[in-house]
Amino acid sequence: MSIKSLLSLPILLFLLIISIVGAIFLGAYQTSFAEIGQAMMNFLNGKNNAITYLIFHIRLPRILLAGLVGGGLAIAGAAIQGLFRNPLAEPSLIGITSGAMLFAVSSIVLMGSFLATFSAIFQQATVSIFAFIGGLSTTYLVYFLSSKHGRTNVMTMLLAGIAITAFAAAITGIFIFLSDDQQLRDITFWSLGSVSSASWIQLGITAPIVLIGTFLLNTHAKSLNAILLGEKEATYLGIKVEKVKSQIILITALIVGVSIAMTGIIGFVGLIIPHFLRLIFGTDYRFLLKGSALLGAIFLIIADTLARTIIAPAELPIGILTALVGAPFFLWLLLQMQRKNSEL
Amino acid sequence: MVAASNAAEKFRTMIDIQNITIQKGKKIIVQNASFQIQKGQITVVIGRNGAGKSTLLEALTGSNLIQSGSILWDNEQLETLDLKQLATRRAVLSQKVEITFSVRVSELVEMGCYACKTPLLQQKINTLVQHALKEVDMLTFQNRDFRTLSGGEQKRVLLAKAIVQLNCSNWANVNKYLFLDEPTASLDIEQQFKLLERVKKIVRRRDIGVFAVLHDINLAAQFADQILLIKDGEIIYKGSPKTVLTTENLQETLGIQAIIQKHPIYNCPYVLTLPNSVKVFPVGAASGSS
Repeated sequence: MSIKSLLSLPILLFLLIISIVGAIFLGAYQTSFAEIGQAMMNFLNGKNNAITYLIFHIRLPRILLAGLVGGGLAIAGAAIQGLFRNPLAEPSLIGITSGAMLFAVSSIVLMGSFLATFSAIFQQATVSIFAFIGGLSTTYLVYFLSSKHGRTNVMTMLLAGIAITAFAAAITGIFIFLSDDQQLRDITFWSLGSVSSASWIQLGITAPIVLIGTFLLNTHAKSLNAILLGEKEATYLGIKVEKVKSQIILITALIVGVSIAMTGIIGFVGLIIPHFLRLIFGTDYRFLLKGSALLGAIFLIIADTLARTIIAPAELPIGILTALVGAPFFLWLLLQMQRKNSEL
Repeated sequence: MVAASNAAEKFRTMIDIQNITIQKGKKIIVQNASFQIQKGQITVVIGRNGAGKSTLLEALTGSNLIQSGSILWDNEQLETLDLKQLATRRAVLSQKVEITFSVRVSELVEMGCYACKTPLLQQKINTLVQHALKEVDMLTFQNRDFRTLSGGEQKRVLLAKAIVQLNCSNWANVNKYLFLDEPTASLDIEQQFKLLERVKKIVRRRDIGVFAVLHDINLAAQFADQILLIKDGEIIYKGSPKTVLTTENLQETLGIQAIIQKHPIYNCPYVLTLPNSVKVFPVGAASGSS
């Protein structure tokens, strides 16, 4: 790892802490230092008032969830790009997103009728669980379709992912066609993504999966470096490529599955964050994975802070902001790469 | 006496290939191949496109391809060695490596160390990388993006990676091998010589065994200790360049006319090759020509 990338990890960590602290202060209700201090004292003493509640039960869980999801999506994107040796790859390409979408939409539409009597939290939990199952099972299907004799062809996997995505989108379309106005609104908001419903329970589920997943992905950093040269070259270097492949796909499916389940679909984080770092620091995955996790967390925390402050007291869905920033940036990146390639 | 020389032979033999057959689907790629790769020597296989050279090389590196017969590495069955063990004992210089993302030359060469079982100190890794890059004259390129290099420069970097891979784990009591798949393809003439000279130097100094696929008969004649002529998956001639490179053998395996002379400098066979359509030999000498 180069010195430049070694130095940038603490800097990114520092920026992450700053963005978390900054995000605590900012919002529809601007808080002052004194209020935060007061809230902290109250929280530690077990007392509860409006500001303590706002800071510790609404804002903080939300910021942390944004950080976890952003970091998780970005590191998953970096790992998938490395595994597929394709700069355009991201977790949604292997069916995670479309599967989660299909299952979430079907649960909103089908269960909406007879779950209507249950509480909102229960309904929301149902959608989350369905999305999680949908993401994982679709990924498994894509993986299964492209494996033969214990070997997985990543090219087949990409194509199978595209086909399954199209198929899932078609069935999703049928459900959308069948939905009533309220359900349609729920579906639209879900697909735009939001961390506004964050709670400590959600954090309790998301944090272990994302943090352990991040740790496990990092153990594959060298393998991903070797796979950069091709699967055969990696094998020559003693890397058990098939094992690495199945593990990375499982871990990313878990991370992205739980992220989508908690926040809906948040696009572009998994694609642009790794690319941004790659442009500046190169492709050493021992840095790129950690760096993506940190920068992804920072990016989504900032995006969420913007989402809830720009048109306060109303909120923008976070997926709109990430795509709004992400899409132009990605285009710029493409042009840069084109220019770079033409110089060669 | 015979027993003693056999024993000595056994000691020198590193890889012993016995009657191996490789089939892909219904097609037989390699049939009943038997030969030995000796310590400190270069074995070169020559044959037409699709004759099974690359598949043979792949099988020898430990890709679990063979249907029958056996490959012994230092008297151990190849199948019993796992990827990690294989990686510490052999390096492969592939024909082509395609990379989509930017990688610095030094980073790429460093990957040779991934083969090492125990993690090395960064300082030791850097020394290995610098040494290997110096050996292939690429030290000044160490911070360049691999993708911006020419084909020949890329080959040299990949050779440096192979050198690092062989050097990173200890040499004591372990025989090591180097596999080269058309190493001189896309190199200019000077670099072709230089690459093979480097390989030869390493072979002699470290006493490793080399197996290479080559298309250039004269390079093979100059650098090989043993040549295998392969046709339709069968090794039909094997031996020293002098015994194997004959007009008849080359006609049979490669379908070309060859005039064999003695190389004025190296004293090895010097082969002038011509297509069969050119009539140079008296009728009957070039069998099979039209």
